[in-house]
Amino acid sequence: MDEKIGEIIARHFSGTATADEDAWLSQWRKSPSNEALFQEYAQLWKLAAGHNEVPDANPATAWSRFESTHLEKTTSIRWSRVLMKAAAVFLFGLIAIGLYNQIGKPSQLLVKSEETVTEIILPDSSHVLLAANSSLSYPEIFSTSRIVTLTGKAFFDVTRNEEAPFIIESGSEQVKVLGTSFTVDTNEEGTEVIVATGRVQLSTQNNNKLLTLSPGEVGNWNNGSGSFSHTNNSDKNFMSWATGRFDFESTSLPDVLERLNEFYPDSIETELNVKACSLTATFNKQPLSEVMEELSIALGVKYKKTNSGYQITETACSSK
Amino acid sequence: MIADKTAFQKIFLEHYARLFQTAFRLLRDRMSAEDVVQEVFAKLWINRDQLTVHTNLGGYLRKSVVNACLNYLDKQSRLTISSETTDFTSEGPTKIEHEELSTMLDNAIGKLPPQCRIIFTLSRKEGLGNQEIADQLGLSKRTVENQLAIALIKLREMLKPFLAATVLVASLL
Repeated sequence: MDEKIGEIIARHFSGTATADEDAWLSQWRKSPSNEALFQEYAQLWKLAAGHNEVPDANPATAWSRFESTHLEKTTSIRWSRVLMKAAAVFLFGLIAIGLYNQIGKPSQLLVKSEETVTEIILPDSSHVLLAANSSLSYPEIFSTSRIVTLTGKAFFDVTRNEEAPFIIESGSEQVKVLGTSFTVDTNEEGTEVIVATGRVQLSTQNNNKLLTLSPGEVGNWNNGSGSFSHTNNSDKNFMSWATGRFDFESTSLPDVLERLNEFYPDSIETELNVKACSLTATFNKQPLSEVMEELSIALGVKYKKTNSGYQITETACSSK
Repeated sequence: MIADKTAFQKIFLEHYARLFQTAFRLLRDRMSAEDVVQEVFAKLWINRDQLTVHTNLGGYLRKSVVNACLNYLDKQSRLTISSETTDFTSEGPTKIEHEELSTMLDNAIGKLPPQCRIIFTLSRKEGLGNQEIADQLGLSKRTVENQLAIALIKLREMLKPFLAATVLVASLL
């Protein structure tokens, strides 16, 4: 159905249709197929107003929260402003020194994500989704090669440019690509690269060890052994930290929680041994409260709300 | 003018429940709704010196909450890499309970684009008129009606297999 008729129906439902429009609509509804369609819209319209449960608001609790976060800290906020100014002057000094050291080079930008995933668009319009607690540094303008430095984890969707290879430096190894999308995860043990599309080359800084990866493959650099290894990617949720889409299939609860905690700013914690619990479910960016509900239905999880998120206090499958 | 803390507390307690209800209906998540309302009051507190008396403070606050919810949803939707148009498979269920369909509809509303979702929810759940919605969001009435139409069309697309089924069950009752 086209939007024009939809608009007339919407106006009819909200009581703002003109007499002419109402007359036109009654004529239109004479065809049985139109009438059937109209009834479906009427059903949706009515149903949407029906379901109206809203949890209790608790104004008094909300006020104490407001008081403690916004009112009592007034003096310390003022102080922290002073401190921030001092820090800004200090930082400016550092940047100035940095610039002085780099005369002739384009200035380097540093993006740090905190609790949430941060989206960065690079000068060549490549996309980066920086996972929580990670940082990426890159030049303000790319020269013949596109070199960025990553600490932590990020998903890259690199704009194709065969003239200027895209190189991600992380510790002792490099990831070099022409135009593709993939995830890079760096930690103390090494670097993991999971390829979504295109081909990705991993190498050491001195180029003497090389590994080429295809879509669906995972490449690992191990700092300890100083070598590359690669396997097929069996983890369907390798992008869930960025997309919020989770597809669990008999996944053990500790793994489930690890994945969920990567995406949601609030964390789910437990002191129980929940290794024996496994979950089959899919989630698509639903609020964490709904995810908790599903866990409670599927695994008999009981939980309580904490300052940082949720704590699981009981399950039907955990061992002591 | 909001002179001091006691006066502010009075305003907070008077309007909180109503604003929370609006935010919850728009976001369908308790924590996010609480955060949004806190944020709106924080802005009110910070700007209390610059604020002149509003003839309708409740209306002003609700407008702020609606816009804060829209921003919140906008920010969330920008993080999605690939969004799916629908999650409902058309396996052809034979019977769908009214309650289940309500829940599915609420989930489907959550999948509408942010502005569309806010407008549809304000109309249906908050019972606002089209002109009122237009005023809250700074849009024309025409745009609001167009968005309502889009909402209906998209919701029907998502729920098509279940709608007919319910009509059938309803007629058998």
